[in-house]
Amino acid sequence: MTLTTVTHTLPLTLLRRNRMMPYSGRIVVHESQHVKATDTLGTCLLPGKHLQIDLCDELGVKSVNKCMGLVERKPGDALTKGDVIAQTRSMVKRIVRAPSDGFVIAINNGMLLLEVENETFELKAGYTGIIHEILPELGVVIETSGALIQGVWGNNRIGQGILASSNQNPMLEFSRSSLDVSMRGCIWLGTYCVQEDALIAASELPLRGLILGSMSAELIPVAMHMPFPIILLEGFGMIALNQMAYKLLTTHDKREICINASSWDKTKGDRPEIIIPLPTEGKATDDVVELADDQTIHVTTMPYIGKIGVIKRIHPASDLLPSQIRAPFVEAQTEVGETMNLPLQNFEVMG
Amino acid sequence: MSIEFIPDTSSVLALDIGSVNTRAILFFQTDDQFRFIAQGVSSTTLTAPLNNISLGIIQAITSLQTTTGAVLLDEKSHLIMPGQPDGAGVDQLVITFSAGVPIRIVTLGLLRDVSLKTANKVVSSVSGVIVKDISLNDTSSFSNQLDQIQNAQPDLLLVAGGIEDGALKPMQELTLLLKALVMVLPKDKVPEIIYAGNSSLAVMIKESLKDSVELHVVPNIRPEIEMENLAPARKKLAEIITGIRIEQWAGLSALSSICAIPPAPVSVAYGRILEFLGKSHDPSKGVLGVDLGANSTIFAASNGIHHDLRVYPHGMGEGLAGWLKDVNPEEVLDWMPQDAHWTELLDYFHQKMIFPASIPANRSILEYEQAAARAILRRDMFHFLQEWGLENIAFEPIMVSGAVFSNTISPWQTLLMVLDGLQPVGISTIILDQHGLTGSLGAMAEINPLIPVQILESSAYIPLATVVCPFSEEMFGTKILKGVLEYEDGNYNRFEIAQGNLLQIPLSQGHKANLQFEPLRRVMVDPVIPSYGFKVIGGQCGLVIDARGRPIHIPRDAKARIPLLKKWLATG
Repeated sequence: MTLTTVTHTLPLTLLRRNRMMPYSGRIVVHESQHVKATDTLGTCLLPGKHLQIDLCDELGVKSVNKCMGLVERKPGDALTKGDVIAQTRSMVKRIVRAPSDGFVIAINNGMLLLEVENETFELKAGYTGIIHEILPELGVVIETSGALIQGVWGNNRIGQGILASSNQNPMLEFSRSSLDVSMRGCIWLGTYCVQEDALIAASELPLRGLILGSMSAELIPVAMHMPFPIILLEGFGMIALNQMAYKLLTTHDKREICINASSWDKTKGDRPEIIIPLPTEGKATDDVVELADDQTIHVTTMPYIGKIGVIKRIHPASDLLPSQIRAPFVEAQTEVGETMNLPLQNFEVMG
Repeated sequence: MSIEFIPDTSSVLALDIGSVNTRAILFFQTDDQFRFIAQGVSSTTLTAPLNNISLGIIQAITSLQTTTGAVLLDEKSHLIMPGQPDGAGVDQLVITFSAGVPIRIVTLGLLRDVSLKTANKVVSSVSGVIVKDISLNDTSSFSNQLDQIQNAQPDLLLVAGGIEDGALKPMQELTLLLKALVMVLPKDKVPEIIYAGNSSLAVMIKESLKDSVELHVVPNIRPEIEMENLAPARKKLAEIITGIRIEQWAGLSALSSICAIPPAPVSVAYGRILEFLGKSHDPSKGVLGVDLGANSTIFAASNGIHHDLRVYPHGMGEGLAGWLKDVNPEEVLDWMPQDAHWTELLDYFHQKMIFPASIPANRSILEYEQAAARAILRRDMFHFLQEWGLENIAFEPIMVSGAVFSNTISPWQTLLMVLDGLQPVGISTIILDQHGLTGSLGAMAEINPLIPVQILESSAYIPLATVVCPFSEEMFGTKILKGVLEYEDGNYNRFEIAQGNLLQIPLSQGHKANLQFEPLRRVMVDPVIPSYGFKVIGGQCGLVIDARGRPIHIPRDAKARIPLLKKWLATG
């Protein structure tokens, strides 16, 4: 028995995704509410900077006890810039004011610790769907039905837009010349990208998102700075989109789609993916299956990377691969009848 | 392979939960002799969607059952313990692990080059990542230091500083910092703290933090300015990491309750074996162990007195990320026996990070991986020798493990990778731990020190070769040594060695021979043994003379480089 995880490229499914905030905060949606990918689900305050104020020094008081008696705030108080924190009672008053908005963390031995400049984190939906469950103060579970295409890499951005895929040759490199003004505001379905200039052109247009088969690994730093989501379905190199994903995506040309180009967090299971919301309700599918004959597979490493095939036979005993390494493998056949002998670790089961 | 199980014998099952694979390794005792029987391997099921290590463990044990015919699991897939009279089950269980997102550690010390340096050394014994190291003597303000720790989001804080009987005031500031930290962090994000500084302050720190944090006090890691005491802090660090993993990983808590000893980070167990070997080998040379894994590389060495253990965040899977951060492409391309562009290799390495379990399916990909392995070993060996700190850098033996060494076309390919990557000096025996048993043996040594002794001497460890790496500054091609190898049967093999050459001399595995050199130029055969005559034992690759110089010079021009690398590959 060999259990294996499933990578989804599905025309219709029902999926639920947890959307979580990094810290406790406020959820602003309610159960059963419809949301769009770019909607805000909740907000929380990110940790700010800290300021330590020497109250004795600021007030000109030598005695710590006396100083503590002059403090007008307590831990947990919210302060607005200019608020009085402590002041002397002499004729010529010395006043300590809050240098900026913030919270009092602690007051001890004449020292005051303030937390300031907290930024607000906004949790975006990432998917168009319905709020299935509220996880109080932390996040929500979104449920949606539609087509699902999972990728392998994303630049940590989320977006939503109209898919533009017509007239694309699935083997043609994505470059500046692939773009024209009619694509402004669209999510573009490309093939592979090896030129930085192509990404810059996409941001200048601008595109709302970019779906690629692959990209040169040298472009990672540039891609991470692009303002729109970029998702890779195959990985790194010059690999065209696999036929299964290509066919499914081109079927939905001109339809609104969501890209959650998160990085692949294997511990949490967050994976870059494309959702095409559909009005029909789908069924949830298994994430883990037992490896078996006739399963459709997607090759994830060279030399057959990106190819789709069907398992014809599983060889559980180790045998010699073309690299001269011994490993258990499967015999799989591509759509055009090509036979591939693949180590069990070199493909994903599709479903 | 089916084995006969004899009642009234003892058996140990070792589970090793790696980032890519989970292995179940079976050891069996017959006639007071422990033997390695076999191992079963499965993918680790720690990550989503399974998020439970149990399934990977059951699959690995099932595979082990299939290979050996042993019955280890009952009908509910529970491990049968203890062993039954009919031979089913096992008597003892040990667990080592290296999987999981690295533990995030912040180190705090008084002086950067003293206590902080020692604290960082403690952390380098496990596969944790130092997300921030802060010296109280740095110029940053109290609040800035507080922000730095908070932003680093540590799982664990290691606090050091102050020699015993040293000044207390600077360390009191540290107490305030810890106290403030506990106040600013949300309760569920407060890290565990190990205090390994001036022991006079331990009570005060404990008192001031009260119940707000779990404070573990260990003996001062730098009790005197010139003295380090790493062992207690390392032990505590390993215990805490195990505790964190038990909380994080579904399935580990139940298993740890039936373990003979608590689960341990594999690096710690690995280091224990090398310490043990160091005590039983020639103290004039150290023993060296290198385990090149998917996430990290362990280097451990010992000469019986001086021990060192380092885990570098460089590996052949997700560990490629740490290595690629500052790699110079030439470090890798130098070892490519084909014309390759860096962009192709970079694409491959990034793909490998996404799919770390993937296996090289053709020769050219295998060459990419082996070039990366050489470059990783080269760099980490360089750092390790600097940290090792002893003048003598000759090791005997050198033990290596990792899938990249086991998954090769031939023993010669493995040996050459070790020689190119580690570039040892003098005379060494290179041993391949082909099943990656060393970490598990380190754990088993805690329950029975005899087990590692017996397994290390068994056929589970393959001697690849005795290698002689003479050092000479003569010009390339100059004859530097004449040699004669006298076999046990009285036959001779005479040879000459030129600077820059790599020579393999037949000597069957396990056979002994006398090796006698005659220097033709200024040459040092071994930096520790001032002799030209040696007794040597053959390995799978016989006896190897590596006179390519140190460091090995590789021509940058592909036209010169490729034939040279191919020639070396064809030597064995």
